Amino acid sequence: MSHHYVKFDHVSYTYPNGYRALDDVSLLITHGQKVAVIGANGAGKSTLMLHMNGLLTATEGQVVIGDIPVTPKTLPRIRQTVGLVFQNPDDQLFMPTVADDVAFGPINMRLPDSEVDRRVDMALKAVGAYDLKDRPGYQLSGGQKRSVAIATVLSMEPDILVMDEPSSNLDPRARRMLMRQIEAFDHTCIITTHDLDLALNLCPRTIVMSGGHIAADGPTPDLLADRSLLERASLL
Amino acid sequence: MTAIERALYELNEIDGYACGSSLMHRLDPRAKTIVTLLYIATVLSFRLDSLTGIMSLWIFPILLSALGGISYNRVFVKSLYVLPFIALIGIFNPIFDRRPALTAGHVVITVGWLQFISICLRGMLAVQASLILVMTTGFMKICHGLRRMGLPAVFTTQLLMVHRYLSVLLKEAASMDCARRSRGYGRRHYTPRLWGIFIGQLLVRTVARAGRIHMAMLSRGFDGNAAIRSTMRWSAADTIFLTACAAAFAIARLADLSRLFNILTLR
Amino acid sequence: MHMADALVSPAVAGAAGAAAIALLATAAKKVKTGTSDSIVPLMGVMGAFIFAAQMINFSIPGTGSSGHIVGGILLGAVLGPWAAFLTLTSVLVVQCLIFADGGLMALGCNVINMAAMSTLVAYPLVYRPIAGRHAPVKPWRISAAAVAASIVGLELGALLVTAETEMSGVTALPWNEFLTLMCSIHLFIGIGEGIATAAVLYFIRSYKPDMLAACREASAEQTHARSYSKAAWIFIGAALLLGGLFTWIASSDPDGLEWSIQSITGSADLAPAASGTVASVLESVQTSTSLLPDYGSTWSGVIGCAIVITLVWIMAALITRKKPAVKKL
Repeated sequence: MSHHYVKFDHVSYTYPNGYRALDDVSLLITHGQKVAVIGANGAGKSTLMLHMNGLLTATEGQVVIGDIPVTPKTLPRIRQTVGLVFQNPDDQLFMPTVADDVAFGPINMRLPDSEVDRRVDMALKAVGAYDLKDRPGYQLSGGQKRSVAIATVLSMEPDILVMDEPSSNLDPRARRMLMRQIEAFDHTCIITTHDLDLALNLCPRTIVMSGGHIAADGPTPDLLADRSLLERASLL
Repeated sequence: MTAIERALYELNEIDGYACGSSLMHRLDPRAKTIVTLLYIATVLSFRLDSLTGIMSLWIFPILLSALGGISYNRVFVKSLYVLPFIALIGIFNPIFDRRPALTAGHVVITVGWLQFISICLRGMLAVQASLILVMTTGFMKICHGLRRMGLPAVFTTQLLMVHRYLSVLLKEAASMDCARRSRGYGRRHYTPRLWGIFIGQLLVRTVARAGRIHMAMLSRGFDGNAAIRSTMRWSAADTIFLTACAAAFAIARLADLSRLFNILTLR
Repeated sequence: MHMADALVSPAVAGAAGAAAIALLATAAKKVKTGTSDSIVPLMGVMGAFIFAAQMINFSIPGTGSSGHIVGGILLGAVLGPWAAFLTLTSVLVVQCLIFADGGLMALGCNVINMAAMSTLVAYPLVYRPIAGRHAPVKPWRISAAAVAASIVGLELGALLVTAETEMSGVTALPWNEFLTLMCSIHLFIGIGEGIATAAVLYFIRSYKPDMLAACREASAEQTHARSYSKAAWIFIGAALLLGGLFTWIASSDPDGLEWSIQSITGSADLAPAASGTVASVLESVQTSTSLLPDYGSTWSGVIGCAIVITLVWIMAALITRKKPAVKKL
């Protein structure tokens, strides 16, 4: 289990329109770490995130998830190992009911029915949304949607959780509940966020991105105390 | 209320009714769908001038909505929306067919008017039946039922997706429309050019959203077949319901219920 | 032009329903699924988009009236014909079930009239040849193609609405007048729809051309335009023929032609329906049981019905009020 590290080895990515979103990014995140990725809009956070799951493939360099390089052939295994929670839960909850949505991943993994049921219950309980099981996704509140979106990924029992702006659009209470949930996970967590307070509270380590490359990588309290760094990264 | 807001309201209303737990709600969607189709077929099989026959079928929507714990008044009001288009076509019958059918004192009702009333009535009854179906079942379960009845999976998945994103896109359109009106300086309508830009924007956003949904699907192992499990089981209650309704419709169709009503009420 | 249940007979509805299901099955085979790059999510969201777009009206210049799109040609241009057909059909189902727009029985008619005519006939046979298939499409070609295809699609639909209503024997309006009425209304609607579609396509072309290009690629595999449009024509022809036959055999409707025969001869006897079909059984049952209309005496029938309905209605209202089974949102 200790193999579940995330390694970016001089990764660059250029979009088809010529925009270079990632520029020579190298990083290593080891098992069980909670890491925040912060940076201004367009700094490359989302592009970075999409690489961890193989939704984008590096134009240069290589992404390795626990000894397995991300290639078209390894995608099914990569996607079971790395769970991606998107920024907008409405994009993640596309099935008729909460239970259908949470079961979507396990069914695609061709698990037997009893195992699918067990995982759906487990994932929903982990985010405190078990009571919402049979509700349609669009009837939920913002906070509930976010919890269920996380459950849809937990049901695949990933080792690494990647979350894009998990606290955006949440009211203070929902945000607090979400932070408590994330705190309780023993997965490797990679969280992209603008919420510096969340980064400080949950993640001992922070990566600051700016213009497609890594501007800084170190202990969160140190980086957030560095005014000039944050100003250079357009975060202040 | 704009058209969008009304649509959102109605969507919510149907969902609200559909999560009830009455006897009707617990029946298999397939049984209810078949019964609804049988009912509409029975209504439509009456001749246009057989007004009493069609009227006698009116009791079924009332009874079934009571059985489903939903307000028949609401069903009735909603079914009125269907009238304008039907009336537009039906109004020609009184114009073309002026033979007298019924007289009450000096007032003569022509065959044409009788047919006009029948057309309106059968339109409303048919709509009421399908409203009761969806209000006691929910769109989602009807789709599952249709899948089990053999409709292609691509299509039923499509239906579920449309239903899922209906409210999302309606809200998006509503907020865009609101933003436009707030800067519209009293202009209430869209010119075709402005409309093209507006709808084009909405379309671009829609396609971008589809891209994100696709990514969310892929990252959870999607391989082209949306996996939906349905735990639908046909029980004895469904068979009884289906048989009872079919029998009741047949009796209403074959025997003249209006005579029975006469005996019950007038004598 | 949503057909309501009130305007169709079970035979016509059944025939159109069968044709619609056949088209649906064909479309389900043609639309590429089972691969990870399938257009399932795009179709789903586009269906919801068309529905939302129909809620926003544009004003038609110089007329003071307003219109909205049906969307068949637009869907065709983004998704290709078969996927567009499935998508527009799903919109019709939602409109029918949730918004009581068009009837459940008449759904087959609506699918043929509105979805099939625009996406499977007008789009491949009118829009595509005019707009051309190669990348840089000129604005005037898009506009001309959109307007022409919209008019053709809607006029065909109007023709079918007329045919289905007349074959159902519901309206007393004669064929010619009905057809003239429907076609002239839909000519104007078609022009409006065409201009609107062109406006959106023009925006997309200048703002995000790859969207249309992508769909051209997606539909490039369907270059054998003739083969599938032929299929469409066969289905439509079969539906019309079937519908005609059904009504011919099973009709016992005393309207129109047959009514005059009946009123002349004074008897309601009709050619015995060919046995076997459900419709014919229903119809023969109908003829054997219904009495000759004796209008003078049915007042009591009408009143009796009215009283019973009122009583049942009141009872139902009382029952449903006591039971707050409905969870309001």
